[in-house]
Amino acid sequence: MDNNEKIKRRLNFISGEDFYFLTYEVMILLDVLTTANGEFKDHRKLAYLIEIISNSNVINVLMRYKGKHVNNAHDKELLFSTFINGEIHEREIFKLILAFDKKGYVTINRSVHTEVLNIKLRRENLPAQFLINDVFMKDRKNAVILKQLVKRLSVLSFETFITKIYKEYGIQAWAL
Amino acid sequence: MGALRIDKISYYGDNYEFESPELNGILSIIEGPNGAGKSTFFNLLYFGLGGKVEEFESSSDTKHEQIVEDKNNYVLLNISISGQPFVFMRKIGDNNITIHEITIDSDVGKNKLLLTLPIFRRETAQRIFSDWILEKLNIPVVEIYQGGKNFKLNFNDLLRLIYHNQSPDPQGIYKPADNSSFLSDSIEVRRAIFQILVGKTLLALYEAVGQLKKSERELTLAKDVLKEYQSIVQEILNEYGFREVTNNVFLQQQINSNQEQLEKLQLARSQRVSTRPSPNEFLSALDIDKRDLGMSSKDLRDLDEKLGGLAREKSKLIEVVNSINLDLERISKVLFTHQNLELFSSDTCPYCLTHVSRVSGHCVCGNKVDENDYQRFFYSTSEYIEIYTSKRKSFETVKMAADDIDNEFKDLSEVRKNLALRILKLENRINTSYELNETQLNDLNIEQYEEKIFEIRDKLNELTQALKMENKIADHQREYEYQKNLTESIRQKVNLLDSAAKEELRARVMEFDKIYNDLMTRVLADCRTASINSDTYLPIINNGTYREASASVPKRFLYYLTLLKMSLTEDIPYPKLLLVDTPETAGIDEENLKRMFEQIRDVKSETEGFQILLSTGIGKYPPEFEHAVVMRVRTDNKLLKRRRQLAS
Repeated sequence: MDNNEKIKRRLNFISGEDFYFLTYEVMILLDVLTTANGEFKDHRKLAYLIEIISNSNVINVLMRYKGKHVNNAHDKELLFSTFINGEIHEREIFKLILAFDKKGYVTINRSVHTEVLNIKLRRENLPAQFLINDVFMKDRKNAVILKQLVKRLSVLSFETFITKIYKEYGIQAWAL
Repeated sequence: MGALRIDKISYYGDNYEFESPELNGILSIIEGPNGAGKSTFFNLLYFGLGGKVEEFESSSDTKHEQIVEDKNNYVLLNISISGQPFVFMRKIGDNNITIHEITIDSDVGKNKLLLTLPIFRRETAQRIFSDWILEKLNIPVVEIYQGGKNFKLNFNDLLRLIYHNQSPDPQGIYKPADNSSFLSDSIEVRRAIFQILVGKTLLALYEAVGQLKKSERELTLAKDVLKEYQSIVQEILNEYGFREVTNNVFLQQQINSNQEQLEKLQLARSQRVSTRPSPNEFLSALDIDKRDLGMSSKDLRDLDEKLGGLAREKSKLIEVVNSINLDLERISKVLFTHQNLELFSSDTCPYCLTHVSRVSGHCVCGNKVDENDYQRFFYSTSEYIEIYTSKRKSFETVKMAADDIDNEFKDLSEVRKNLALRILKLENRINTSYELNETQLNDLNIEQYEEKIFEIRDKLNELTQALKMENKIADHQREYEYQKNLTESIRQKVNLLDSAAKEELRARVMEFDKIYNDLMTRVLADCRTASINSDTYLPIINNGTYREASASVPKRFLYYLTLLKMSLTEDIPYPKLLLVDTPETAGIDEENLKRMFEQIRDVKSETEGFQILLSTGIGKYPPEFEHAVVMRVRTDNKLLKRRRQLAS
């Protein structure tokens, strides 16, 4: 590959869309939000959760405005962007979960709607210490904060999830 | 060109000694059988000229025992360069040569010690023996640039076409290099040796090329100094508050006008001390303050606007820094995940994210595609690292820009602080001045003048400093331009010499061919034509078809002889000296050998003398050369004599 090609590929890289980025965020979310035998209901929530825990600023907004509407335009925009990006990544997450299943990292339970996946993380099949490595400290911390802010995240229905994360903060969002 | 002559060779040690007779003829023959010391004669000579002689080294397999094991031993050479006599002394096992200059008519300073010079160059600037002798021979030290390295051609390198050593394989023509390495024995070096020995213009060219390289180095240096100085000055001037470049003409103008203003102010102040201001004057003094206040307030507003702009720019940059930082963190996490899980590669299906066996040069769908254009969805470890490094670089760049803004912000804030103080003071003064009595008013007035005077003095100081530095820059600029012009003129000289040298070399090669062809056809019956390759300067006999082994001895010997002959008719640097050690070693029948030696007879010089030192077997020379035999060594009368034991 010549140099120009390399530079082109470098420029094409967007960290927030990298499959490995989505991979580690999904795994950390599943690890933090579910218990040893627990199931994460509805994979679609993951797409939004990734956007939230990967950016400490978003977590800060959720903490600051807990129980209130967001009244600052900048913060509103930030929170709304997680909704947009989450929606965009929904399909990628679906593919990713299926790939994890094939690798044995998760088991899948199809719900009433075949489009919706319930997931159980098979921690024993992941490299030891992988999920608790220091590099993920920030993301784990954010996930833990979120877990305290919004209870029962793993079992909430998608609609309730959207309500709790967006509508209660004064963001017009709708379950698609 | 200086001719080099060997007048006498001597060796002295605790156990052995040798003294040659005076070698004053044009041909001196050393005659003797193998093993009697003919080669020792040449080894001593070569050693004395700074050459490397393996037989004289104690670690050598072929060491000359008597010499290596002798004590306090050294070689003494009486030589002359262009008629001026010198003595070289070199101790065995030592790498220095001591040169004595012999002044004949002075009876006090006879054998005056000149200097001791090393043989090897340890650092580029060091002066060595070779530099001395080349200077005496009027041959500049030529540097050859090859593969990014430069190699200085030394006297020993030139000796490779002067000293016809005893060689079992004469095909190479050149005497092997003392330290044979890729560089020192490259074809480039060998070509240069030939070119230097035959071409005078070429010497000038090599010299000019050397000058050019030196001048180019100095030009780069001058440019760097200028640039460096300019940036330093800019920094200092920034601190003084000069925001833009001002040249020395404008600086001088500013100095002059400030000077004038200062003088006026000083005059006005001294007048004020002796007289009292009238109410009218009081009002106009107040006006000055008011005007000053107005201007300062405007400056403050401008400054605040600028500071606001900087702050906005800074916050934007910080956003960029944060986003790059986030990217960097993510990439390291991505790398970590990739290394641990190895989920995706370029052969991962972008739809189902599982492995697909893809034929190289084809897309997953099966269509042909250029592997380089194939926009994969996944990156390899090295690509992630590359992305990381490039992001890291942009992070640093943006960070630096942010720091620059910080610095400017700090500078401007300082200016703002002073300005605000000044405004405060002016406001106070204006407010209180209505309540002042006459004396106080007068004091205030003087204070105003003094303030102004101080301000202008400060400004003058700064301007003078700036002017000094501007002048220095101008000096450096002149130096740079001078060096640039010099380099350019040398470059033109090099270009001119280059074409002249090519022309000259072509003529020399033709001439060489003529003499060489003449000599070769006279010695070898089956040689129709002899010439040299115009590129490598190596001989071509009968257009390259001739492979007769017996011809290799004349081929080499006559090559050297041709060079000598050329040096007698043409003004070329070849030092009119030929050292020939037992050429028959490589195998030649006696008849051919004699015929070969007979060619020496035709070498005649009309102007200056020349010298051939030749060693050969007993009687292996044309009878007419009998008179030229200066030494006869035998197995029972070897070259080295045991030193007479001194009675203790």
